[in-house]
Amino acid sequence: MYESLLELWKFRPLILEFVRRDIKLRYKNSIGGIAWSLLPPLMQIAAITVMLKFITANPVQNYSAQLFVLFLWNYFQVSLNDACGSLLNNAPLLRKIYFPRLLIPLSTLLHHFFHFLIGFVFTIVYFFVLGAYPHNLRLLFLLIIPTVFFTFILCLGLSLMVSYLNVFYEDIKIIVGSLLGLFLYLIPVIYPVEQVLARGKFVYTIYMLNPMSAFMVTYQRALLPPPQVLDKLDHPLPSVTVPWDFFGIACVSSLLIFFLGFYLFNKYQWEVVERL
Amino acid sequence: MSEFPIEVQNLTKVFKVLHRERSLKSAVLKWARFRFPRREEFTALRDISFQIPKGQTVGVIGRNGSGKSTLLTLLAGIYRPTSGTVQVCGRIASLLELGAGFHPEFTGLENIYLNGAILGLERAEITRQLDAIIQFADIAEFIDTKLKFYSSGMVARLGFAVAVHVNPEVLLVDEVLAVGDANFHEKCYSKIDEFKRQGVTIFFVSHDLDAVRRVCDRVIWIDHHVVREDGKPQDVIDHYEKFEVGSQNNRARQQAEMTID
Repeated sequence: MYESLLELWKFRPLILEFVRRDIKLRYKNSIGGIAWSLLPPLMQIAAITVMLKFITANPVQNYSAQLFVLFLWNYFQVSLNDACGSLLNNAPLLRKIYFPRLLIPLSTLLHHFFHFLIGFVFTIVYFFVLGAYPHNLRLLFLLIIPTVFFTFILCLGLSLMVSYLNVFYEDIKIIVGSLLGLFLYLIPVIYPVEQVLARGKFVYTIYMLNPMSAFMVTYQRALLPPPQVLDKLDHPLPSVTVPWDFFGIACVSSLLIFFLGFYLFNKYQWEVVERL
Repeated sequence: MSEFPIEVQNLTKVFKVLHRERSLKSAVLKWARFRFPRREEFTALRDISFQIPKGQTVGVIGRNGSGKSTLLTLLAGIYRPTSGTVQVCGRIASLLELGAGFHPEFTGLENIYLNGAILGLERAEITRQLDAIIQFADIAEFIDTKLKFYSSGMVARLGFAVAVHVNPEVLLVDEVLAVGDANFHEKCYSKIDEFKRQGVTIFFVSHDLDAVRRVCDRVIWIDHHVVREDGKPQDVIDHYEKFEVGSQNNRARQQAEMTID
């Protein structure tokens, strides 16, 4: 493990070059350029806001600001989806030149991470414009750094697993793509996490054991204080603050998933190239 | 650094060949029936051994499908040997394909950086060599044009130009010099001569026997996945040519007999 990491470090100029390539390529022939990467998540936020306003009996005040966690989810979803097919997409290169194959999914993730950073900066600026900042800007804000880091680790671990599997069975990409679409409903985005807690401690525990739920809630709470959520009878629901315990569990499970993915990827990487 | 930059010992490479397209469905079905997909094995190289001293230029000849390219891929570290060992020391430039990773949407300049990084050059190094690369490729006026508008000869020239500026200690070449016009050809061979003078170890796979005769100090003939002969270029190439002509005559005779029957 140590050796592969060392090798990766040696190849960092190539990682940067791949990331640079992907960033340049994505909006190469468009005038809007990199600003376009903000559009899909913003459209999603707008759509969900409108939907909640009209459908929910008791909409949460100012919920659209809470929806900016979507940037993190979007990052996770798009990265995993792209990383899944990344080895196959780069097959001609992998067959001809040696470099650690891990570079391919890793640079895919880093490329999307760059877009996430744009979204993140946009979020901060928007909150200032909105007036939510600076008075909601707390020390807790720093929690964003580990949250985003461990989301990256989790995503990398999963990417390593699905990307090599996808070389053997191309069905994986289709399955992952559809599951990710479904997963949006398993994380607190279109509903506040308080409504999950209201269903009972047991449901809440199971729900939060999903590392992505824990990361999303932590990220949301680090950005803004918890929203005031009312039930059908206008009674306020107990609010969820930063779930330290579940966040810790999520970090540990992310690391485990990463090690597993790393192990499997290294084990099969030679066979993968012969199969490309 | 060892005396032999390239050392191959008892190298055998076996590929697993799957006859059916694998899919998840079939895998699950097979698994459910406790049966695994039938695998056939194909030996691409059998028990190959050789050592190449520093600065030697070695040509590899043999028929299509005899295992030449597989050998090169193994030397480049892309495949892992099934058994035996492959050791290559020093900075390798593998010209298994010219312009690996070139992207049609990028300009010539951007592609130089991309391809250079893939071949193991750092950005600063490329910047330092940029003029030399552009001059070698002879595409100065198109350097800011997207690669998709290049002619195939220009793409090959650019690819070769980047590759030779890696300053390798070991150069692996696979049948890539057959591109470009006579002028560029000449340039390539003079570059190879220059490498030879600098003491670069060159491993050269080609069907162009004249080229092999011209640049190589030693020739390895691979036939049916094993080393058939390893020695002086003149001898090996003569035997190879005789053998090829002989087997062609044989085949012709067999065909003639078959028609008579």
